[in-house]
Amino acid sequence: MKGILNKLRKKNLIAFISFWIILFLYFLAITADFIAPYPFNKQFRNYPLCPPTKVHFFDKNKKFHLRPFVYEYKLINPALNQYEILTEKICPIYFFVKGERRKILGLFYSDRYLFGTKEGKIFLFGTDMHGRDIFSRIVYGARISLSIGILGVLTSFFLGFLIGGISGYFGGKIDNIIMRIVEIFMVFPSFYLMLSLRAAFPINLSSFQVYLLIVVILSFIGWAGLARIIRGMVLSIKEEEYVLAAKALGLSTFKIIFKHIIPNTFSYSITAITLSIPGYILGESTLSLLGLGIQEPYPSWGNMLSVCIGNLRILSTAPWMLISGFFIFLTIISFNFLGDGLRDVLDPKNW
Amino acid sequence: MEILWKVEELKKEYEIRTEFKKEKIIALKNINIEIFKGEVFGVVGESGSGKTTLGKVLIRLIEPDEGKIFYKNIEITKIPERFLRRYRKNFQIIFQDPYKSLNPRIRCGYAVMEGIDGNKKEKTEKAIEILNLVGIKKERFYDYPHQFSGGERQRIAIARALSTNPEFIVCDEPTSNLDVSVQGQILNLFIDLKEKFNLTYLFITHNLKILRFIADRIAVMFKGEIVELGRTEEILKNPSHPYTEKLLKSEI
Amino acid sequence: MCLTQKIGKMEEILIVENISVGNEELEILRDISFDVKKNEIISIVGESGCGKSMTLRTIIRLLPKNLKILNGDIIFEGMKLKDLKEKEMNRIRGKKIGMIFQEPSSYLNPLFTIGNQIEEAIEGNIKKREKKEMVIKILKEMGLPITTYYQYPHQLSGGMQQRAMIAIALINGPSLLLADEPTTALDVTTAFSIINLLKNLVTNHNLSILFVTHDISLANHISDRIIVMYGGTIVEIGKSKEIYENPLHPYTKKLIECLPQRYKKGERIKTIEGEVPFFKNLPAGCPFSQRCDYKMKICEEQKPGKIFFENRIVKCFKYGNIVES
Repeated sequence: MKGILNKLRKKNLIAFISFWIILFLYFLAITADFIAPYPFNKQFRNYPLCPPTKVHFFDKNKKFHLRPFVYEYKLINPALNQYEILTEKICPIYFFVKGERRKILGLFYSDRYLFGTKEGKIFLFGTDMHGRDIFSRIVYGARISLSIGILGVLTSFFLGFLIGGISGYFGGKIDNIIMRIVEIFMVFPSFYLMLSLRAAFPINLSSFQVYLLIVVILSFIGWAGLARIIRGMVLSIKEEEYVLAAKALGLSTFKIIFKHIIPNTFSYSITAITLSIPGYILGESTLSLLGLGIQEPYPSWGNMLSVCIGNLRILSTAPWMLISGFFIFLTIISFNFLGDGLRDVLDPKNW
Repeated sequence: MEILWKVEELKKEYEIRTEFKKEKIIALKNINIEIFKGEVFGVVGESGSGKTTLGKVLIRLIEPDEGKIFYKNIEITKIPERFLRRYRKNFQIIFQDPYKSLNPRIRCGYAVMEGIDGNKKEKTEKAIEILNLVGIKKERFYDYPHQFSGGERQRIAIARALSTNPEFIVCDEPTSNLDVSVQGQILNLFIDLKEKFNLTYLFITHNLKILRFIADRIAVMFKGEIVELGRTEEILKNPSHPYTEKLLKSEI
Repeated sequence: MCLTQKIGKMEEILIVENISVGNEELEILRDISFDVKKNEIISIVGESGCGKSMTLRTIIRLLPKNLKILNGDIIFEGMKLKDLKEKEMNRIRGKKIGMIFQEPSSYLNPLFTIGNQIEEAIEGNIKKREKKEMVIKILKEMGLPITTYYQYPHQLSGGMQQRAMIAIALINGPSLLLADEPTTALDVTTAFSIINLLKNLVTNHNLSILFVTHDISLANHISDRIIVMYGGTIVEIGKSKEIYENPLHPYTKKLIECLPQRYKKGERIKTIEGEVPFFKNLPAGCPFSQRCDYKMKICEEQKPGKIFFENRIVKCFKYGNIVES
């Protein structure tokens, strides 16, 4: 693992940086309870569509404060969501600040937060129309969006390997039947398949059930194309001389498939895994965007964007509402670069 | 002399499908041979003659379509793979392309260890011993195939074949992809190993000159059939089949 | 300086003088000097990594981007090739100098018919009908049926593909053919017929061939003179029969001794220890010194220079103390 990271750093700096960006995003997701200054569903009725509170070190008198601070924002025009920045009221930002008691990762109680204010509010990315802190919703939303991607991909790949591997190795009738089934799956346009599968289940499911359902639906769509490719690779690797030699040595079928054949698909498959995670993240975002995925009040980066649909005014008056789109973009592009970089590193000729 | 292999009426066909038609290619036809223990049985032919297929079908790496194969009087043609596995240790194979016959992801020592029985320590020791025997030093045990030259890779492949203590080895053009000077080294190695371990070889090549040097008997193959079979000296002095004559005339 | 310059300058169609090829980090070819006369077949013999293919590519100036000619010159029919511009070199490639390669299936475009590909190589403003006639004529000469004109490469056997490639190389009537192991990938019987074809072409077409091979017995069979290369430099040049029967350089001796046809059953082949080293690992001094039976102290320290000995050029301290300049 260390070796792979080192090689990435040397050969492909962007991939190396992307790896750390992704790791950071997952870190945010895991530590959301600690990092987010407010609960994701806490509504501040006095602060709807509040713009991001800027962090200052210098006050209006150009005096330097060691401790960063924000100003108090006051809503002056509810109809137009206009705010006045009260530059007299300095609200310092404290770290490891005490706040409301809540459970961290569902394990233990704590009332400490990474940062927060004692007076005034700190909305790093502004608020939505219900007055909920977008920054907090982003880090909580990361949990959904990032985990669904990984789980969906892993399930697809597990299915793809299993079915593709069997089909490719045994060939003949088994191969024929399995491939025809795979082709039926591939024929369906994935977007509509996704919608119909979702529609087949009641709209009002508990959020946890919806979460699982989305994972299942996404992997349901993705495994077929993968199975076909793995099967193709297995078919050709099966004829390679070192596989024949393994057979001649008397190794069991199981050992041949798992020690010789499957590892030689890794150069493609690990790269493909990394490159398809973005698709799964987008799939979840799309479902949530259309209201078929994670429901309010739970945040996902997709459903945070859904409020902007049909409401283009938002773009001009409250552009910070689109920031979840930026995070989706950042995640996808990082996975893309990482996948590219991994492709080179996993070639044994470079070891 | 003990008969190690007996092959009766072996047949193997391939179907090639192009966009418009199916073509049947006969890889092996009417193959009847016996291989005696301790001999070097040479097979010569050009591309498409079926000589490589013969080697692979004999030890059932490829399944024949018709015919019977007997290994020491046991018919192995129809035994299910899981029973055949027990016998596989007795007959091994070395391929032509040293760049493709080793798994690029497995270190050379481990590749040789795969066929050895025993605990990890015993396996490692035996693997080091066999590699030494073929001329690969202990320090290179953990290197990957791409770190070796062609000749060295072929030696590792030979070590792997020896790891199961076989009686019989199919040598499928083992020197064709090597430089001339390395070819000589490998051929010498084959002869030394044969004497040391009392091996029997099926030696497949397109180069008659090698067979003249190493083979006791030669089978000449053409379009899937054996057109001539006999002792090396006889065939080379008095060829009876026109194709054999043509081969001999083409020798430079 | 070449032996044959004494005979008559018009004899040589190609003179290679002190060529070195490489870049700042390493030298792939060193001190390459030889000549090719009219209607002559010369073989360059050596094992993989000795630089024989690179020599051909240097002559026709198709070197990889990171290598260039560091020294020396190539004189073809009186013209100096080293400093020619690419456009001018293109007028020579495929027209005055032809080249054929080892794997005909890789060098023939699978999407075009043979006729198409040969016509494509024809130089000059010639009408389509005349081009077709030229192609049919050369197909006949190559021993290919006329139907080949309409066929695609995959429909031909290996031998026929090679003949097609020779046709492409010779359609413009070049005086020099560079052949990079053209028979290595072919069956023995097919190779035999291609060799005979090449020999006939030399007589009928005023052609000279520079033939690269790793098989010294083949070189002896086909060529008038042999050049033996090792470690990026020439170690011996001379008449084929003389070299084959009485090799001077220890490496040439070993190459011939390695041939299995010289041994009877039960004997062991006399081989060379070790393998050809990578360019980066070439020893100081004579490149063959590490594997040589006759190694002397000077061999490890200095690189041997050209020695003229019995109608031969050898680079070996066994025959004299000349050091490479």
